[in-house]
Amino acid sequence: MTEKEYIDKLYINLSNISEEEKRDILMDYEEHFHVGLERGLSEDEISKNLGSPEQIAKQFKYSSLVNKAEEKTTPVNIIRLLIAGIGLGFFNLILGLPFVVTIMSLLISGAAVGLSLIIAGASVFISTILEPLNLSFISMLYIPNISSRLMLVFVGIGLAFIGISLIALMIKITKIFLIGVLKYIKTNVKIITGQGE
Amino acid sequence: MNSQFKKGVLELCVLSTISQKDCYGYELVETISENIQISEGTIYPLLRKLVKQEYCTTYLRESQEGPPRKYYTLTELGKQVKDQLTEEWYEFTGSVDNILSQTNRKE
Repeated sequence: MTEKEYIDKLYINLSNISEEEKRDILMDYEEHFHVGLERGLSEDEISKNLGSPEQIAKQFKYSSLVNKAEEKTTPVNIIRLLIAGIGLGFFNLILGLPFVVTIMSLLISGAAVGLSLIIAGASVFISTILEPLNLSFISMLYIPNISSRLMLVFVGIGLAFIGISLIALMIKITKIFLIGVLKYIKTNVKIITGQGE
Repeated sequence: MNSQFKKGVLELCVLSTISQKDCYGYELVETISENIQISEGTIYPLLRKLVKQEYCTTYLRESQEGPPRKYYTLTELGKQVKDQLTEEWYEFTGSVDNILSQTNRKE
């Protein structure tokens, strides 16, 4: 491979990295070629010693995904990182994918229950307050006296409160869970791989 | 050399080499690949990581032969990490040596 071919291949494979960073990365490799040529090596020899540009691009991409996941620990970023790690040949991470998806589904279901509780609470609250106006869409509601009206108002507020707490809890658990997964990935994937891997 | 070994120690090798004197990329690659067989290109992602973690900083220095080169130098944090990793390394290899010499004596 000539220097130009090598650099082009590296560039093409560095997707999802900012142009500025790409240019910075390529400059290091251009310098490497330059010094190698000065020492009397051919472009082909230098390319061979450097190793596959596709493999090297994967390492840069993985690093940049780690940074992204550390800045913003979102489920999407974590799943992307897992996939990049698997791409680097760390196949033990494959088990992580269904695990993360399952746990995230459970947490999202929990949050959905919370949302339903908020809606239910709000409905009870609003219909109780509007009931004296005798609107047609809440006509099925019959409230005999003031104390049951008060009770219904509190039930409405209570339900909404439980719903909000549930969502807050799910968000908290999600954060702790994702940080745990990130740590797991980082200890499993050592960036540098030897030759022939 | 077993690749599992290499993965773990490359960072230490790079930090240790830079701690001797500031190096440019090619120089580092040369020093390390003289002793350990690696894909040379993988040193650069590692260097980038070390800079991001603030173990190293870089500066440009003119060279006689051509365009300026990017030199890597250790930060205070990098020195601490290097010292700690070195200590852990000797502790580890010491334990392994012990076990190996004991079991070999029995044979």
